[in-house]
Amino acid sequence: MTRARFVARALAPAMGLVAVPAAAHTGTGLAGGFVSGFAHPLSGPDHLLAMVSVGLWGAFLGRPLVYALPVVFPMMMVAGAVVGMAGIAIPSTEIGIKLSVMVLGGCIALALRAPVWIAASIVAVFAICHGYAHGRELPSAADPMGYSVGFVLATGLLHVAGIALGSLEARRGGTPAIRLAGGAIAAIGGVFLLGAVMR
Amino acid sequence: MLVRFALTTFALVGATAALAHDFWLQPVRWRLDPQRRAGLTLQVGHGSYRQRSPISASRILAFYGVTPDGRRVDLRKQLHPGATADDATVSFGRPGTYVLALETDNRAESHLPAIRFNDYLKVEGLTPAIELRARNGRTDTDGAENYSRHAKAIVQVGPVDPRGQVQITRPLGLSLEIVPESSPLTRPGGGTLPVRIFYRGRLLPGALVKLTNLDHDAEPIEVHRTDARGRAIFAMPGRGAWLLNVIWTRPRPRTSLTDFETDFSSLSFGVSE
Amino acid sequence: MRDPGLLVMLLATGAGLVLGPQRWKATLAGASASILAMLATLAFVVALPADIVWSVAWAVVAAMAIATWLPRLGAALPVALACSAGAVGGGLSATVPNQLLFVAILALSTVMTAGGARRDWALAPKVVAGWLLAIAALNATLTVLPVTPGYLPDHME
Repeated sequence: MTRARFVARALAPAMGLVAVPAAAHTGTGLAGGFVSGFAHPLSGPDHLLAMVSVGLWGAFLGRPLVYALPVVFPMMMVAGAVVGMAGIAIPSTEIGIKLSVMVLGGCIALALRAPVWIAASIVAVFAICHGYAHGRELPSAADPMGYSVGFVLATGLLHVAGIALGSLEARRGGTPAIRLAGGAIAAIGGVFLLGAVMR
Repeated sequence: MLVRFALTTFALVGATAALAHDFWLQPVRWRLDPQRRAGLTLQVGHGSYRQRSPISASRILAFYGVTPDGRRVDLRKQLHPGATADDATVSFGRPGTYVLALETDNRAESHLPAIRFNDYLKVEGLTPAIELRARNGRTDTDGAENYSRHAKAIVQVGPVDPRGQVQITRPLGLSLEIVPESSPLTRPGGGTLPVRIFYRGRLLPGALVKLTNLDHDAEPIEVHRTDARGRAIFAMPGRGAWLLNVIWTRPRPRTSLTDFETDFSSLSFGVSE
Repeated sequence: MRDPGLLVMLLATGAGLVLGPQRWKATLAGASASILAMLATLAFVVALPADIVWSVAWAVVAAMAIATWLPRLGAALPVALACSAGAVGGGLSATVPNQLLFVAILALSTVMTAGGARRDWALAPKVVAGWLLAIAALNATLTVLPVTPGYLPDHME
């Protein structure tokens, strides 16, 4: 199946997840629930770039990682979120998040074709850091379920967006463009990391 | 990072504004008939969370009424929190304006995750507590408080006598107290309602005071912070049931099991034009 | 607040994911069974403790997500899971005033998801199943952790 069809296939069932969230809300509304959760990965450039990079790198690596990475990431994100929800302090997760942007961007820029287990491991470690950040906020959301649906869905859709961008590889000049984008992401990640370390 | 935090905080503020729960006295009627017993409930929460307070009688330290001539009448025996119809019944023989007051002990505890505790401090305007946590590097730690309630209500027996309102404008000595400078019963809907906030006997600057219409109480209609003289000025409310409330907190000793001791204060009244 | 409508939608999405790749008769049977199970639960079952119903619901969501990844699923298991989803959906909706709306949510989401997962045995539904499993795991964990969830009010004494 082509990547474009994969994107369409992933989006169609995902639409079932958001069929009627507005109609489903009662009481005080979705603020603090689905909308907050959905906005969380989108509102932080570090989260956003890292998620897109997971999809983009997966698309670049091809089968099976184009499908495996968007599955590994949410699973390990849950592990990190559970640690965050339990209030267990993990130092330097913020640095881990910034590092993820730099490393994933660098992998794309360098066209790094890692073995499946290495690519999955890299993504898994970073997913724990990202999940931890979400998990710290989850229990206090007015609607934790809506919040979790929101940020998992937003994360998944960002992966799909990255895969869709990765489909540009097949076009003329696509690979250099993707590698350039990866380089830009890595550079931005470096700036983030420097800021986090200097703080 | 700042945008994400702001967005999340804004969303949480929007969702949790109703979760910082006020406590007040709610008579069945704000205007009582002389000699006739009238019920009163202890209310907590706003909007969809509003309910009768589950507080037990053993935690109530004082419940009394201040008569038009300034006498205090102990009403503790009229308390029956948790009864089917109401939590207390009061009756007053003489016409006039009465102030009811109730105070609890501080054995209630609240334990919240860091993000929720910080949000609660922000929504309730407890800026000194936010700054203290930041100075001590404890912004990311969970927050624990002991808290107590200090509630007043104004009830009217018979017609309003503009000359008999002094018990409203005089502090009663509650730990945290809202004291109007003029009676809301004498000039409904006209002019302003200045109030002073007293904390442990002294005027309290920087406190966030809210005015809520109890008939539509999901959100306050007016919010002001007290000035350097502990004063906040509201538009005089018109017809309806109203609630003024304020919260203040102070740090507890390091050896305590909780971090802060918080006082919730309210003044409820009904205005008929 | 805990929004039963959203969880009903998740149940329906899981049902659609397991039903979609089946033959159209099995898909139709499963979707119908799910809706009928929900209606039957609403009609005949007395309201059960909410915490139990919610926990069972998350278990069913997780089971459907895992089932999506299983090879050679057959028709019986997806139909049974869809039926369970409908029954639990009915349990969740027992106390809401607009129960038919929740039945509609279940039906609509099941059909939409099944339609999206139907074309060929593609891996996209497996990715979405991963999301469902993540959501179920998060919410199931929240019920066992000693934290005050955001939907429970504070300072209520």
